Amino acid sequence: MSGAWQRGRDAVANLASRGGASASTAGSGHVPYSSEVLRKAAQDPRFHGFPSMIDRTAMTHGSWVQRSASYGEWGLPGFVNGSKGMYEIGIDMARFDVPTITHRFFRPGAG
Amino acid sequence: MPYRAEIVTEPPNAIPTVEFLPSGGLGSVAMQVLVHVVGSDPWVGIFRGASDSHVTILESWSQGPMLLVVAEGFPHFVDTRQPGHSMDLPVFPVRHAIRHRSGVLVLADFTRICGVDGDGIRWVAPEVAQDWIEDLRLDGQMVRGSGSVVGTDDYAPFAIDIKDGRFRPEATDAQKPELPT
Repeated sequence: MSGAWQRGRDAVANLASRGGASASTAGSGHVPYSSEVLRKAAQDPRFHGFPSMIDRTAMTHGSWVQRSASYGEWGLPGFVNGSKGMYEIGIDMARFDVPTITHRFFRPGAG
Repeated sequence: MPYRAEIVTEPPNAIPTVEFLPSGGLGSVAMQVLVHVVGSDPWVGIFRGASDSHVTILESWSQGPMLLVVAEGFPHFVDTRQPGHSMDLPVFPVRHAIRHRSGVLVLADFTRICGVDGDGIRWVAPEVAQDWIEDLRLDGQMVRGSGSVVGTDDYAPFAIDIKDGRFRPEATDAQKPELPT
């Protein structure tokens, strides 16, 4: 992972852990969500529209996988309705004006 | 036909009931099914779901002992001869269910697709999406649709052979979605 990427990711996680001060009105209130994330959350509240406070926990305590030069994901084991799985929070550092969450999913059975 | 299944609202008295629960919870009753098994006593299945999707269906086949009830997204795949036992399916929550004329029922959740019939699980396809499958449909012997691509807002088309669950040979690499690692 490049130093710049690491600093960017750490900054996002730090922002989330502090409660954030972003003016974003979408998503967690700290790191904005992409329109696709919001669309899926509206159509599927249970597995894509879980509470935004989980973002903060995933960013500070979850595992991290960088999947490309500008995209990576946090993973946090958890449960939905008693079923085990993995919360996934994906962030894109390059495609938008600011780092943006482009993937939020509770993957049933994973983790 | 090895069995006959019908939805009932009031289970008949004196017929034993078997309750099927979703994993991880009690759930609510989504469907009650009276099953008449050839050469055996009838039984009533009480199938519970957990409101994980809007899909609630009953599927039966003229060949094979298996019966499928998808209860609010949770799949109960039951051997009608041994109603106390159900087979786990690799798709949850079920969001798409399409039956092919061959009898194969195609089931999909957010990332995976499998084919089942009265004899059991016919195939499980490779993951086709990061977290969302759209426009799932049958096209002759193929199952077609689009899957979300990792790290983008894009969707990649896929084509899966109904016979064995493999990607269609003529599908190019560019047509296959990038899979999560």
